[in-house]
Amino acid sequence: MWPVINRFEHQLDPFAELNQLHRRMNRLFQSAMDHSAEFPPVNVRGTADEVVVSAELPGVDADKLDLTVEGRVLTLAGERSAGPQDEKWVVYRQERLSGSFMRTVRLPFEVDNDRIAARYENGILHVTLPRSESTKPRRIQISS
Amino acid sequence: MTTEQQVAKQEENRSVEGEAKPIQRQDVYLPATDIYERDDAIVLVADMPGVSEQDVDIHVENHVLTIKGTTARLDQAGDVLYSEFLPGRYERSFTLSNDIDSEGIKARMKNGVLTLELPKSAKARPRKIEVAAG
Repeated sequence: MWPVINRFEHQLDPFAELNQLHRRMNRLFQSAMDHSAEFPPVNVRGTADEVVVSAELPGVDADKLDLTVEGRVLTLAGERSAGPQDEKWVVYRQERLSGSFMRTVRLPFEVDNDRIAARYENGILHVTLPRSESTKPRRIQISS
Repeated sequence: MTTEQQVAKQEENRSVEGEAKPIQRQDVYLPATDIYERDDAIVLVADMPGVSEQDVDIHVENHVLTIKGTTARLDQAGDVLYSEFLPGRYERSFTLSNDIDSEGIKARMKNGVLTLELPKSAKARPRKIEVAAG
């Protein structure tokens, strides 16, 4: 028997877990060496009713963060300023990324744009996106 | 006592002092760090996302500055759909030169970024030498 409702499409993808492992291995090797890994790193958690996207964005001015949702795609954009901008200062080491960034996250379902909430805490941005009512699975009563 | 003996003694003390903790599997990360030099201080800026100001530990021992931080646990609600970062610990050590006044180190934690100001000792700061007339 087929499951009636597949909560998230990606669960149907037999390679999803493998791909994720592959990305994590890459990140492990890249993180120390270069900065080609995508910025900011994100985590996505979800239930049947909402999805929470978290992004590691230390030292970003929350006012300069730009969050947009279009269809089932969440876009995080912003700018991270470099350290002190004084010519007299000598720079010995600069490992922290600076400049503008943009990252898109595909959401598992359509969300209710009016109820999206974002919280910035200790350098981590959490965006809570509730599922739109119209796409929630409904139980259909059978009349006898 | 030779230096080696001293080190051995220190390690011994440490193992006695250290309280037993349950073993936990946790990743240790190296925080990305910028280092700048100013006339009066060295400034160190380290990214430690997820670490609150209460969870930062900074100490100086034998000219070695160690910064440590533990991230708050991630929100456990729901299933993990995709993951690129995990909770864990940050740790990094820096060797300080003799010119740093380790008593005067100032630290600030904001939005997951630790900023340390390491003041230079008075004798290491640049000075202007006045030329006496005559």
